[in-house]
Amino acid sequence: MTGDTSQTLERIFRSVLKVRPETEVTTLSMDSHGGWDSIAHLNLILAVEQEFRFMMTPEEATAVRSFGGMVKLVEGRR
Amino acid sequence: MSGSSEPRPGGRPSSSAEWGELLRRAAAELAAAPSHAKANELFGIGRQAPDSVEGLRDLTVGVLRNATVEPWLPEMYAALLNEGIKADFNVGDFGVYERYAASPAELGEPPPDIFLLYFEPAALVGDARHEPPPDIADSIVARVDAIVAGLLEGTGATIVVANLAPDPIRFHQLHADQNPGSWPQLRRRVNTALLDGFHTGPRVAILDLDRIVAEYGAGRAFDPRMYLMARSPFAVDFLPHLGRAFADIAAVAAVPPRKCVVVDCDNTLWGGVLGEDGPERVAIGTDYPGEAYREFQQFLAGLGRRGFLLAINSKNDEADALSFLAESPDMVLRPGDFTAHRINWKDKGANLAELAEEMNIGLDSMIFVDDSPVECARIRSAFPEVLVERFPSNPAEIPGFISGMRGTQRLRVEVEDLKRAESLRANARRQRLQRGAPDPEAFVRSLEIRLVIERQNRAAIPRVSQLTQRTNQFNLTTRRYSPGDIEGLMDGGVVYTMSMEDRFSDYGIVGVAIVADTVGESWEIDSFMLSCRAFGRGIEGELLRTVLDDAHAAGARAVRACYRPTAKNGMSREFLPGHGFKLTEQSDEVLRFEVSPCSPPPGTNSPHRGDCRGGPGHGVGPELFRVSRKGSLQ
Repeated sequence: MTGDTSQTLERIFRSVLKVRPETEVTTLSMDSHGGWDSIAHLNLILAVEQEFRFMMTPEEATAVRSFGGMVKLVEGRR
Repeated sequence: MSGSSEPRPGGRPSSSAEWGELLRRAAAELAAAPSHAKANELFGIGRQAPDSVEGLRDLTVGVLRNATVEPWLPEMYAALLNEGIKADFNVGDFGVYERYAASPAELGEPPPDIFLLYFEPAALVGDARHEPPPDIADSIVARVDAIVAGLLEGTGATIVVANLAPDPIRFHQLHADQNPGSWPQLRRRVNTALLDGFHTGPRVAILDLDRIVAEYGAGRAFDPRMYLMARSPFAVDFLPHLGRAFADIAAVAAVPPRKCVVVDCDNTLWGGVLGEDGPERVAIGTDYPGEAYREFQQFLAGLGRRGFLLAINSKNDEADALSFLAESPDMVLRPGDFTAHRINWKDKGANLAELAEEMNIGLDSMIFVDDSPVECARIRSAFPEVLVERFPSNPAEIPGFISGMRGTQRLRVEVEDLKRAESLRANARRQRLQRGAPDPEAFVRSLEIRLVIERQNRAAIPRVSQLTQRTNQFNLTTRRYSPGDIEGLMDGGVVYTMSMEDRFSDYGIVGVAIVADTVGESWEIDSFMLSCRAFGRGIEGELLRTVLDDAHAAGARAVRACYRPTAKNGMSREFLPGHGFKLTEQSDEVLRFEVSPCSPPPGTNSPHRGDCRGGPGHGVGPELFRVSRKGSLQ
């Protein structure tokens, strides 16, 4: 299960954050990745919600700031 | 778009054509299966594409807004690609519309080809929407007017104004909607005023967001949580709809409009296969599924009224299909509604190219509608410039197809568009009738020709003189006369003019007969001619008949006429003998003929339709033309 979620999220992160193929996604965080700005963050939230068919609370959406955090958030909702 | 974490095989496209292919395919995939993640990826890839990509039109979109529109752009980008447009977006700062209206260059380079003005009502009106001042609607309309006026003056761009959608936070308060003076009421007033004010202006169009939200459902279109968090009012699943709505209008504004819809017959104009099911079992009518096909025909008829040409490209038996179209009582469209057709067993691509040539339009102005995925794919690959719309095989999906059919929308229909389409249509129809009609009489009858033959029409003197000067082929004597000469001929004899109208157009005066001498026992036809525009219908016989009838009524015993051969008038040599005239004298310069205005008809060609004793007008058999005669011999 974790594997599936992680893979799907990896795909979403690469699509939305325009991550280069050679860059590792699983260690990404908002602070470390230049492309992860507030608009990208909004797109990320929308894409993740659409893919997994759930809605985050505004608090959750604001608090998540890394790939690992997103995996945890999604797993917690499944 | 790989969509996976693996690097794309082969890396970036190497040519402009490959780029076009990649972007188009990705956009088509997104249209079939929306995904905000993939739309973002496509948007990102598109930014790396070269400036001009084969098969795609570049379009710079300036977005002026007071909400977070950025998450909408990927879906807009994809929807525009599906319209053949590669867009570049310049987004203005929040709420400062007037700054860009005063100085559009501040939005950056290159200058936008099209502006999208988005007004989020909650931000536009703010707290005032809870207790709106009475003049707020007027002041909003005045503000939008001024912004649009500034952009129109400062740019050559098309301005798309999104009207005001419901409030993302309180869209569901129906009772408030009904309260006069409430914000929902005032919002509607603003929208009505925007539609009224801009629909006549050039370069301005309304994106009817209010309706788009309503159609999708306000409950699903909004994400109030996102509005409060990020000032982005729309739910992610609504974004493809918003994108398509904008792309529709941008395509209409940016892409030269399509002019012609080419349709298949079986399972498109009607349900079933005519050749196999037979006319009784084919579905067209007022029951399902025939009703669905009827709706499609009504839609096509409406396009016809708005200036589109309609044509048929069908694998069928031509005679069967045309007679079914003509005779089925439930048919909306009749053969005459189609400007051209190719109904045969040949390749539809070759047919399509022929249709374009016959109608004298480019393939890039055609929309091809067919239920066969194979035919659609074939046309798409043979002619990428043709807009291919696959017709649904399930008739229940026809309403959706009609609503979403691309290429058929126009911002506004100009009177000139209609006229131009009508004249294209008239030319093509006439050509087709002439080529296709199996027997000449049926062709002539189908033209519904009306003739007016006038005696001594002084108002026509200049035109009569002109015809004598210009007519070379059908002209018995080729005598050239000035207007003064014609006046003199009217005084001493009779000048006949014949004007013609058919169901396609009014030709004006096309025939002239001049009788020089009406005194005494015989009449002398001095001149007789027919403009080349009126050849091939047999109307010259009607003019001659009028002369002979008049001569008979005036008591003349004989009518004399002659044919003077020239290098060009060989086609009129047989006219007199073909109408019962007897040769009386022959030389190299002239052949003289004579006929008794009351002699019995020698054949069907005879101008004598009437019985001499009964006078003119008592026809034998159904008349080919409607003829009216005016004026007296004096």
